[in-house]
Amino acid sequence: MVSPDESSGMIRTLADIDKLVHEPARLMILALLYVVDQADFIFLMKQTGLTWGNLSSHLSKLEQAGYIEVEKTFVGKKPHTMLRLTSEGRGAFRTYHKHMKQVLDGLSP
Amino acid sequence: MNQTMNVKQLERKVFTAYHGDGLFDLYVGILMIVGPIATILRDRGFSGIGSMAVHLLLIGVTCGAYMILKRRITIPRLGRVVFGAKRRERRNKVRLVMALGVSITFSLVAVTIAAMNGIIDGFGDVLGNRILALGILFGLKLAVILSIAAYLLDFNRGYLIAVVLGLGVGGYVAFQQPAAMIAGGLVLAGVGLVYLARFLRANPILEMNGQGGMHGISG
Repeated sequence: MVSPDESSGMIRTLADIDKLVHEPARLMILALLYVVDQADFIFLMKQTGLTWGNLSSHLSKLEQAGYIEVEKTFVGKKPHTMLRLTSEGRGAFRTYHKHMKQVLDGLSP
Repeated sequence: MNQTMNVKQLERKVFTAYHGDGLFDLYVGILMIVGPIATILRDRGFSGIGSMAVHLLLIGVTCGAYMILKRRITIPRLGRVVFGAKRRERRNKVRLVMALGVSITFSLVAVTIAAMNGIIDGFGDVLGNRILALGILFGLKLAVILSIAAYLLDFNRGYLIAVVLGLGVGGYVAFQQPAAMIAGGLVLAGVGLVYLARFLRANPILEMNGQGGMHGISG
């Protein structure tokens, strides 16, 4: 049973959650990039199930926030894009993970 | 609800997906099938050097084919990924374990050959009569080393490969029969082909169309 003080503490924690990370598609992208060092567009598409346009849009938002960095290279003659989390991105994901764990543990029956 | 994001499980899922193409099983299976080729050729009158040359050539072709198929089949379908530091650390541990395994194998092989040729006194007849025990030792050592590698890599299918390879190599050494290796190789190659077929069906190649969208191409 959660006390009223604990309940309001949890609600404040929820308010602090990074909404950029909290969006399900972006959360999937960040989680995948968190567990690997780098990945390309196709890998993220396959693992998340997002369409190209949708993925591209979310990656742009994450890049603008400084959470991911994009490295454009060539594989043979074909252009190739690799993505990785920045240190800010890793920090943001870890903070989100910690907040959510606090909230969900507090809500356990 | 008390769900937490288990990043370790996610990393393992990604690693397993990347090796869900069955190519590694196929690769090991084919290596096992070509393994006794030198012995078979020598039995049929080929020279020792000729047999070994064919053997090494087939191994080289198999290794090359594995790398090419990984690049042509898996990467276009799953994309490229560079695994993180923890996975690389595990891979380094596996390399150490495998190096230890290879050292033990070479030592055992050297001692066996020396003993059977009377170079090490006193062991010749003893070992010659205990080929069965030697085969079991080789097979067991291989199965243990590869199981440790599978554990370190968190790769469940590796345990099957460890057992089949251990039985195949152990049987080959113990009974001097290529059939054990070839049978084991056929089992692993069969498993690999099943995984490959499922992988190809589940993962069409995604290609960009002219408008910047993507469509799937099966096969």
